[in-house]
Amino acid sequence: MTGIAIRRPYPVLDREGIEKIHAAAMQGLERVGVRIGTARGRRLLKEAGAHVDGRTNVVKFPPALIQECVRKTAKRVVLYGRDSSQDADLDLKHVHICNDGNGAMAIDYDTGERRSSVADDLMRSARVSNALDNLHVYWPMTTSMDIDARIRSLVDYKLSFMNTDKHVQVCTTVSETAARELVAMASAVVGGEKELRRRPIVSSVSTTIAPLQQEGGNIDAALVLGEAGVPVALFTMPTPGASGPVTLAGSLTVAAMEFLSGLAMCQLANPGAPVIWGNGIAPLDMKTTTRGGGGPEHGLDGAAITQLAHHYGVPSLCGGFDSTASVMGTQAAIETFASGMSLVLGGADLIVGIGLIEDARTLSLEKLVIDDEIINMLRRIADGIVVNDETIALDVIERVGAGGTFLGQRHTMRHLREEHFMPKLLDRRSYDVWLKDGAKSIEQRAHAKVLEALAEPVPHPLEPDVVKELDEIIHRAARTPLAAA
Amino acid sequence: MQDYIERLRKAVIDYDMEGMTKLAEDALAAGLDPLKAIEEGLALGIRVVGDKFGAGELFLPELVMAAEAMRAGVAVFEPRIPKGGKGRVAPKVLLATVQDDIHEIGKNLVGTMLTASGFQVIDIGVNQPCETILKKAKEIDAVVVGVSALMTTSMPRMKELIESAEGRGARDVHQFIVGGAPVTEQYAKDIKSDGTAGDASGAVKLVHGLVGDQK
Ligand code: B1M
Repeated sequence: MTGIAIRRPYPVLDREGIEKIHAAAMQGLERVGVRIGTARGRRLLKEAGAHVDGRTNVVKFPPALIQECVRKTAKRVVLYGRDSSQDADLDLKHVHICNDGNGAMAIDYDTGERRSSVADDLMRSARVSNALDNLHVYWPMTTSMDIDARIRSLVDYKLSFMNTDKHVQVCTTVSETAARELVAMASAVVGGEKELRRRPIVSSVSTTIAPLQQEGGNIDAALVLGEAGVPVALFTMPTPGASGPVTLAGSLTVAAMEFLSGLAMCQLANPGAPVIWGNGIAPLDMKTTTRGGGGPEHGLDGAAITQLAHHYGVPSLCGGFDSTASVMGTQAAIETFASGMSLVLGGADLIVGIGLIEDARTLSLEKLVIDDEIINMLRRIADGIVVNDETIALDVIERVGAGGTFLGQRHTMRHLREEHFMPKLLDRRSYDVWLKDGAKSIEQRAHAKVLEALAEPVPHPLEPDVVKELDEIIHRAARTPLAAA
Repeated sequence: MQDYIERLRKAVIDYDMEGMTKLAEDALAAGLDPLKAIEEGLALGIRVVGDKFGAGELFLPELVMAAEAMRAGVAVFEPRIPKGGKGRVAPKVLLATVQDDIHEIGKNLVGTMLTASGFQVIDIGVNQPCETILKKAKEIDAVVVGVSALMTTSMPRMKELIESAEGRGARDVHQFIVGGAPVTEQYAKDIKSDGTAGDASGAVKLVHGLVGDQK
């Protein structure tokens, strides 16, 4: 089992705030409704008593229907690794970390050049991910621009399976066909659909379209995945001030309406299907018109979504550790810390975002390593201060007395490792020592760790016959146009 | 009359979305030429707002509200421009997001900024097949056709668009620009488009450069 234990999550919303947002979302679902872009979804909802407007496709939901669907939802979601040591149990008590995904650009780890991403970038990102302390779930970090668009995501899945034994979460199943292809590939890896249902080694992210719209292909895919037992994250991301109210409470309410409407379809199609609530509520910078994924609001509202998700008994998947900076450096580090901190403290079940810059666009392997150190620091903050007789240590204080030292006390060594954050990448040596050792920047030190990680073998590599089977699936797909498939 | 032109300009600058319709109707009743109302009143007002936004003095919602106020005014004046006479001179830009792609925030911003720079923007929305885009471009006689794609999987649709424009002799009728997060200068060149821009104000510069002498 993996994950960071959270002693006592730091609440962003109080009880009353949670109740108020919940009540507003239920009212909104009943009065305003959500546009549902899938005929299958509309049919399911109509049969269950929702009101469907045949002209606009807007569906209005009776509160009882939503409540019943929340009750049906699986209460525990486990993101299984290819190896069980990598299982991420989203038990609502641990924080898990996942890297960011689908970047179309990469900073070349060798030349430093910014260019389109290629298959090798994805492989390298998986291998560096394997070496991190705090990376529990893997998103294919880049998309392989050197591969034909029809089979690109399938090749990305294959390379992910081949280069990491962690759970793989994807966000490229935008049609029923794409969902079936994912199920076929994951089944090939675990040895069949039955085994996949028992230990789903993949999950998928389906986004809603704010405000208040469910995209047809995405939901159709979610329903196919639910049938196969593959967990689905319904990713809500109104942009405050643009596709949601500028007030975070308002955008949280829009997100709740979108999530609950999606959850209803998932549960009506496949009762008990595992569902996760995803959050990407990040502001649009109202002067530069770029998305501020590294803003403090992104983490803050993710912590709130986590509380709301737990209110419904489901885990959260929150965007964070993001940066809109164009290069890896001080700004990227500040934004990463700011957007990630509230999420770790808030006990988000899965946080996605490390390793890309330019707001989820560009891979930096060095950033992966630096972000891992940031998380080590946040772990310490989240761990808080334990107060009991042993930690107050009045007996030790008495022994040492006025003017003495605690350095030679067994008590010091007994608790040092859990009380002190131990830097792995930060350099706390004095100036002279640092200078003599080559005056290396944190990016240079991170780069050295990248090289070390790339030299390591892949844990639990796939068997050659499994790789062959994956290749066959890809070849078959290449011969079928997506529309006709 | 000059007073009405002044007031229309100011109503855009102050983003008086609520009062615009009545002001425009009053101006028409008082005998203001609708074409003049748009070009000397509304369009000049939005240009001021656009420039201030470009200089970092205004926030995006202010720009959007000013464009909304302008739209309300145009809706009153445009149908009253005498048919057959001189029409609006602002060049038409057709915008769309390509097929299989539903991302629209960036495209909408490009549209807002182009409107604020005095262009006539016709936005046909997301997930639009090449066929529909080219048909519409012909129908409205678009000077520039701009398409957005946010996903690497939908990007090839841009190439497809330009190729099919070539196929039907429309390549030289319109200028084709492309944009969206994964689109690079190189890609724009490779698919033989007329250019790309990294953000909405870059898109305005690009379009200005392309239609320069027409405006
Ligand atoms: C014509 O001339 C021009 C000139 C300039 C032009 C131009 C045209 N168009 C744009 N520009 C330029 O000017 C604009 C203004 O400054 C700029 O526009 P941008 O659009 O770049 O910038 C906007 C102002 C702000 N940026 C954005 O609005 C995009 C931000 C990110 C996070 C994003 C969002 C918000 C969304 N998404 Co999507 N989304 C991501 C994006 C990551 C990213 N940072 O790009 C991206 C694009 N999404 C992705 C994915 C995978 C998906 N998304 C999906 C859905 C969505 C939402 C609906 C949730 C939402 C869009 C909301 C909407 N109504 O538009 C799905 C797509 C479904 C489909 N069929 O299209 C889905 C498939 C996820 C899923 N499983 O459901 C990824 C694409 C992966 C890839 N490599 O191809 C992605 C890079 C995120 C990631 N890293 O995973 C410039 O590019």
